[in-house]
Amino acid sequence: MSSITTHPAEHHDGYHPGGFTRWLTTTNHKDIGTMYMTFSLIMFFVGGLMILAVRAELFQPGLQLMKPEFFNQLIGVHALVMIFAALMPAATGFANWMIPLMIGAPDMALPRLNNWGFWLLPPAAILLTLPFTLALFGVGDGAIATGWTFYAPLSVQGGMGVDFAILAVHILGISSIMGSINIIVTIFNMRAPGMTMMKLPLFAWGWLITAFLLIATLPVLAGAVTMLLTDRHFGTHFFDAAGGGDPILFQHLFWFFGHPEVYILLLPVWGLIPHVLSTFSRKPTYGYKAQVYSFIAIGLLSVIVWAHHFFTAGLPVPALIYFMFSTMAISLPLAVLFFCWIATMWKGAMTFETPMLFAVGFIVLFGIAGLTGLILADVAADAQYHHSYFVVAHFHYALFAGGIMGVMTGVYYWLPKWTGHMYSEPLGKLHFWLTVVSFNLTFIPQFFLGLAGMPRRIPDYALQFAEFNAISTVGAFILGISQLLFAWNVWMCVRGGPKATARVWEGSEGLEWELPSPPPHHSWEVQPQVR
Amino acid sequence: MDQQPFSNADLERRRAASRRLAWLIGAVAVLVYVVGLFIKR
Repeated sequence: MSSITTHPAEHHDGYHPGGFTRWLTTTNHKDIGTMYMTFSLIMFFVGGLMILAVRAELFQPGLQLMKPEFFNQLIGVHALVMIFAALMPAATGFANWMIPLMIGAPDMALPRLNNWGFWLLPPAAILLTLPFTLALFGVGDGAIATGWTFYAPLSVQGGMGVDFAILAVHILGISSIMGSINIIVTIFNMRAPGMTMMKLPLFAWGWLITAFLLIATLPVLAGAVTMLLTDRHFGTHFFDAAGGGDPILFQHLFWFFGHPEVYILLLPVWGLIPHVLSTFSRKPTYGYKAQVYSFIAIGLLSVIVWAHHFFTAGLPVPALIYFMFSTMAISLPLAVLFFCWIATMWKGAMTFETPMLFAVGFIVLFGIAGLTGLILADVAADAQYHHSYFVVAHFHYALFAGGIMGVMTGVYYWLPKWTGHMYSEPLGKLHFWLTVVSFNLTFIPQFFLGLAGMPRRIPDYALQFAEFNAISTVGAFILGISQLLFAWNVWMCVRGGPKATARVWEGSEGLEWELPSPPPHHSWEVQPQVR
Repeated sequence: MDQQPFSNADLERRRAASRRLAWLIGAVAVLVYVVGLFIKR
């Protein structure tokens, strides 16, 4: 690839404020990446606590701990927090930290935009969760209770929490668009000499497609929730059937964003997994071009399949058939990715450090998400499974096993590069095994609950669902508590530990491993040359 | 192995190109949003 020397003592600027001012004013991609990752971790626990309260309520039939209204609020805000405030910022944190290092750029192309993009997040997170606190003081009736999908007419009639969530989603969307613009222009304009697009690291390719998807779909979501706001307060009737509007229009607009959002959450992970597999198999990535073309194909397909989320809403039969087959078509490029991941490991000199464990666990569990997705894509089968716990289990295999475990893969893989220290390997492995076992303990029962007909988003249920719900709740608590090991391991690694070398892993390849661990304040002061 | 420091001129050229592209993409995003508001069935 290349070799490089750096001049760590030579900085272009002499301004290095300390304390909070450093974090508030920083334009350094590594600082901003760290802030994104920290914010994501905090919100991961906030969203996790919400759903543990939900699982505690569902431990046995009947209402024990909370009113149904509060239950609904917890479910909706859990999803919004996990998607917009935990998973997406984690992916953006990776992008900030790693893309300049990987492509040989001194920083992101637009550093001040980068700072602004991050600092929009905390106010948005506060807006999302504030209605809970306000309700404690008798102001309003709590947070948004429509689920994360804002479906009309429920959201048109909902309380003040809907307005807070609409405003929060606007701000989160603006932040994501800023981040996406920055990533696109950085990849296009800041690459090292010799790094053609077909030499771009797969992580950067995954993020490039993600960024285009975000820019194409987030304005549609923003438009939809703005229309919702005007329906609520300014007398329009976009989604109000009584005034000539159509609630199904909202579903079309929401899912035109919502389905690509799944790939927005997953493509950065699909980009980083090949790096990990290649490193710990000590082999080059298999099928680089096939993976790039699969990313592009999945990105394109993701914007033409949205209506499979509401097959049961009464769509015309030709539309049902079209959306069924177009959805199933996504499994083709996805199968190419799975093939390439497995082929990368095939006959490799594999070792199973924590990142590799998470990567292999990701492949197996995300495979279950893909296969159950095929079942849900079938119009006839979906009539049975729609709005059941089968769907809940399916998308948690996609977004926890696919998304969050993918993020953990990346954190363990790059943490020594970021901090200059090695994390505790025994603790990492313990975290992996506890996560995998408890994750399956939580969500396998939910497949059976869904197959048996238990609807999602209900605080009480019939007696025949009791055993599986109890098992699922026990699994959820073990899963939640075991994530404290992750936070502890990361914290201890930030504070100290055995020194990490520049290359960190024996089999690692790529520009980012040419820099010392941790990288100097200005990542690349000498242009690397890629051959 | 050819290695040379980033020159200020080169960095400024790259950043100017980035700013132009960023404004273009931002304008497209705003356009999609505004068009979305006028969707009627």
